[in-house]
Amino acid sequence: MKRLASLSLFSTLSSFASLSTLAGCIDLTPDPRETIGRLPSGVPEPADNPTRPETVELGRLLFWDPILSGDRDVACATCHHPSFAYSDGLASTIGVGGRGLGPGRIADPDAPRLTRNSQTVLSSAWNGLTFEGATSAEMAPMFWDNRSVSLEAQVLGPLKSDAEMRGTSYGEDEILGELVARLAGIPEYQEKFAAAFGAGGVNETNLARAIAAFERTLVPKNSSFDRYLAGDDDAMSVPAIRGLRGFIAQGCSRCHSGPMLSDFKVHRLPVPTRPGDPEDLGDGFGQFRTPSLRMVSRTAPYMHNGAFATLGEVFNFYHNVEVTDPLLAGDVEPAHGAGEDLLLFFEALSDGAFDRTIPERVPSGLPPGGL
Amino acid sequence: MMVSPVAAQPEVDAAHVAGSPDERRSPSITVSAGAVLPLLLPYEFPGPWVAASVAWPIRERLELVASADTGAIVAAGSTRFVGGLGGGVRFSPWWRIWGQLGLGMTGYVERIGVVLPDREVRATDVGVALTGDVSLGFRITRQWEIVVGYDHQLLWTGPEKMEIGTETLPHIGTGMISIGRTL
Repeated sequence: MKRLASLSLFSTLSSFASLSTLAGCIDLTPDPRETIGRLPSGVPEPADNPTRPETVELGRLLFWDPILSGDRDVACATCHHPSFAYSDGLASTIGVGGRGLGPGRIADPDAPRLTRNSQTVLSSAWNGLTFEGATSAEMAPMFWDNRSVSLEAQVLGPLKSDAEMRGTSYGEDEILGELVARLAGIPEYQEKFAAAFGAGGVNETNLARAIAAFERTLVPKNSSFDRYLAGDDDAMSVPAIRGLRGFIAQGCSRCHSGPMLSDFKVHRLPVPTRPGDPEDLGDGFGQFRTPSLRMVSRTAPYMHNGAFATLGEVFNFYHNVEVTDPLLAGDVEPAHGAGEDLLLFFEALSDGAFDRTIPERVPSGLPPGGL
Repeated sequence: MMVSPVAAQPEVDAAHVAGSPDERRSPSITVSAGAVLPLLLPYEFPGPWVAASVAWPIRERLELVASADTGAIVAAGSTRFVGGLGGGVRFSPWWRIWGQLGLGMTGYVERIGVVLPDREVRATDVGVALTGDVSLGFRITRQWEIVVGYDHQLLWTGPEKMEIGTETLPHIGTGMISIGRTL
């Protein structure tokens, strides 16, 4: 009889366990401000710079032409190269005076130094897009500190920066005039500007518009993540889906939210300064914008100064981070199965196809992509 | 004169130390209920856990144990059902306390559900792990005991590695705490 009572107890406890377990099968429904999603099909564009084939083609040539640097040695593509997912694979980018491409690029010790990581141009057409609303192309935030808005405005920044492209041969007030004069002196550019912009021809506004129009075409398509969200059940593996769940459950999407996996706000994090680098105060308050995680597997190193070489180092940073931003309350740690799941999820965000075309020549006759 | 714990608890020893040949051959069955703890992962919650074990006395203070258990680890958007079979050797230095070492096979089925604006994310993962098990029991009475245990994953299925860095805390094992009753 006692044995029967014990078996009854065991049966009751088993039932309790089963019911408790079933009750635990609760879906994770993130807060609307902390959820993630797929990108819209259409890229936003400003009313005064519609994306046209002539504009895009001109922008591509300008993007690759080192004639836009003071000493004709650096092109936009030098630090935003398709072989490195339109970044450069360096911790902090090397502009004027450098030689080579990608992680092997060697700096000129006498040239001004840069301390920030080169962000990918891919998907920057959607900067500012969150679930709270789409930012217009004219107001899309740019750079690590959101210091300018719109791709058109962003284009002119590196051209005027002494460390990035201008060098020291021209002053900041002189360089755009010099570049326009150079382009106007090349008949092929004259023709292409006329085809793209009509009577406006070669001027700094159209120069920026052309490059921005090209950059709006640099949008990876059909990533595994987007295909999965569009209904393709086989697009993401189970471990990658587990990584997606862990990404949200652990709080990553408190900042890395929306279709771009960025809230496009600036936050203050205790990212270590790299040895030899001066302290970088970002927006003036030590804050930097949440980077998009689109293409994140292809754009190492990480953080605003490239302080971390791998995503594993980034995970460790968040695991140990001291809370300096209210959104970061609590740890970030891998879920069931650990960080490999997160890496597989990140890969699903990064395997979209994008334009890798490298022009054989540019109208200036200089080597495409610079020295 | 030293008094051995065996001599001090004769009625208990008869059951647990297996004094006679008949008692040595007769197995004892214990059922347990408690919680399974996903160690080192603070955002996952303890889940229910039940187990049954059979212990055969093989010599004085030593038993051979076979066990089966089932439980669930619950987290937001994920429920991992676990079920295991294992065996081990249990040693009782004193009648109130025993320690056990063993090996086990733990299978799992994980159900994942996340509701995103674009779609409901659903996935089911299955796998199995070979575990090394250690547990410690405290007998309250002849029939009731409290047990704490830990199953450390030695080998597991699935493509994922379990660690990604020096500081990251991986899911490498589970803890259990339970109350058992010997039938």
